[in-house]
Amino acid sequence: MTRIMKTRRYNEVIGKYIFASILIMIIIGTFYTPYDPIAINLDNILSSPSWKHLLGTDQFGRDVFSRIMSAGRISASVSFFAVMIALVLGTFIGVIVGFWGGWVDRVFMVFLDALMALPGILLALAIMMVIGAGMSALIIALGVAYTPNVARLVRGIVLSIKQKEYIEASKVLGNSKVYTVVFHVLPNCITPLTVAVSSLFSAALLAESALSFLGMGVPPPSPTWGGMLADGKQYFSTAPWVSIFPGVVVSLTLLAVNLLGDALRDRFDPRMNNM
Amino acid sequence: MIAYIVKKMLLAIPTLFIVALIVFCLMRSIPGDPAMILAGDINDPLIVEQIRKSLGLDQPLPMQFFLWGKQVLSGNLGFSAMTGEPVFETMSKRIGVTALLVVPALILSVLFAVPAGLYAAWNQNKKGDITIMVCLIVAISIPSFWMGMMLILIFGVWLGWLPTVGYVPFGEDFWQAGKYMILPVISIMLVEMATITRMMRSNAIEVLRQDYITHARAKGVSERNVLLKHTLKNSFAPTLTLIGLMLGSLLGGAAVVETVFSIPGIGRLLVDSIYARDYAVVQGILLFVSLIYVITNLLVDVLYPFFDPRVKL
Repeated sequence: MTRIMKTRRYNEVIGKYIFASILIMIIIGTFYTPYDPIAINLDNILSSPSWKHLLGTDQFGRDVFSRIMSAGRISASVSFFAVMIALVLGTFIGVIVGFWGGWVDRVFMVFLDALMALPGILLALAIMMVIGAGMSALIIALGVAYTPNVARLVRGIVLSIKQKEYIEASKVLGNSKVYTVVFHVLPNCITPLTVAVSSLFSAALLAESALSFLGMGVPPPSPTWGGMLADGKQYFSTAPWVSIFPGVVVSLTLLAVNLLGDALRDRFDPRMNNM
Repeated sequence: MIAYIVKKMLLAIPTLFIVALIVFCLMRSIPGDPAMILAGDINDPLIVEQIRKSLGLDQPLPMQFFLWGKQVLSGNLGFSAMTGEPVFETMSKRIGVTALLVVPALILSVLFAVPAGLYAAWNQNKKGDITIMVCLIVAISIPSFWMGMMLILIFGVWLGWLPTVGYVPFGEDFWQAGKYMILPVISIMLVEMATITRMMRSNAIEVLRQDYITHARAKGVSERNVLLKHTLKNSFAPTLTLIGLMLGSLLGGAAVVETVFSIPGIGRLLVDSIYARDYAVVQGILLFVSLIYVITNLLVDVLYPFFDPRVKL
């Protein structure tokens, strides 16, 4: 076994451990947190980390650790549902334009190029300006903003699948286009899409925390990782723990997702074996 | 060559048209009647109707888009509701500041990424390569705004080497201005640097496997020349495309980093304008950012054959 394979395996194992720990933390945080993550306690403002408050308290005296635990659920579910929207919409559009081709495809590519010219975060910001702030708005905005990426990817996959003999065979057998797409094209998109989902999830998580940081995320008092970072910014030089720890958790989550994404790519996409 | 450039430029026109259409539709779907907002307290339906007419809002939507497009093309982007200034002027004051952040970040990323990617590819699976790869995946995982806050904390607050937040124009005090830009540039460039390095590395590995590299080595070409003459040029071409595409995410990232460091750039202006519901400015910035993106990718397309002559001119 070469060293790179060992390192890769270490990476995958480390990724899995971090991911599992964060997942467990989020699940526990749904049912139990050491302190109430929302209740204000003015006797205990900005106290530094101690045995009583492991990661200190914020400007309203709320326990930072408890807030991180309960924020995880919101941050993760926003990213999850945003990715799901992007996946469903993107696959639908990508399959249609890729399979039918012709002028549909040409028109679509121009549209896609135009959407790609508006950076994801800015597009999401603009969409939120139209539909308002809030958790569901955030999910929709991020989902729509990432749809072009998925559509582009699926279109590429479908274009290559279209050349395969089994699609030809399905046509010769007299199957309808819809049948061919559902039973022959879609199943073959799943593997490459799995790899894309991991990078999409990390992008969505990053965008969610960036938008919350800009004050465009889930409104208070519900904690999110990005929102906690933004709250801490004001007290940064005197109480750095308020923003250090949420940032550590976001970075660790992203690291885990990226490590697992690399491992998935190694496994499913042998062409990328040298990445 | 000229035919190629002209063709690429013509292809950019429909893209820009669709961008304009998307931005127009977004702005028109914002709830609320602009005429009512302009009329303010005057609750006279006659006056509101007059304003609506003067804004062209009584026309059918395609006509409105046409009129609006004509205005945009003549450089008239409307007036900021916050300051009353023309949007174009408001933006042009801020663009330079963002450029001072994004351009150095892009240049420094490429200057680091190309040699590092080449080195990692050359040492594939060896210690140097593995170290670089581990550092890169960590760099990709740290959000730029948190990175910025940590840099402020370490170098600004604890060590006191660099100023924390703020901005000094380069015209006033060159050294001071440079000092203020160091931390923002670092925090915005790390992710881009890591992404470009990874791309460069995998491209270079691909190239190093080609027969012409084996041939060059067999011929007795020194390793240095194999890398610099044969590998560098051939693996840089696909990387160049990525660099063009990354500009979009850099401009998006600028909005966040500018907020962390209180830099009055165009990203900060966008966020402020969204808060203030200053739609004319938001619209102008979206159009401007996509224009920059399209132009940059046009430049990349034009430069591409220079690195990879196989692309038909």
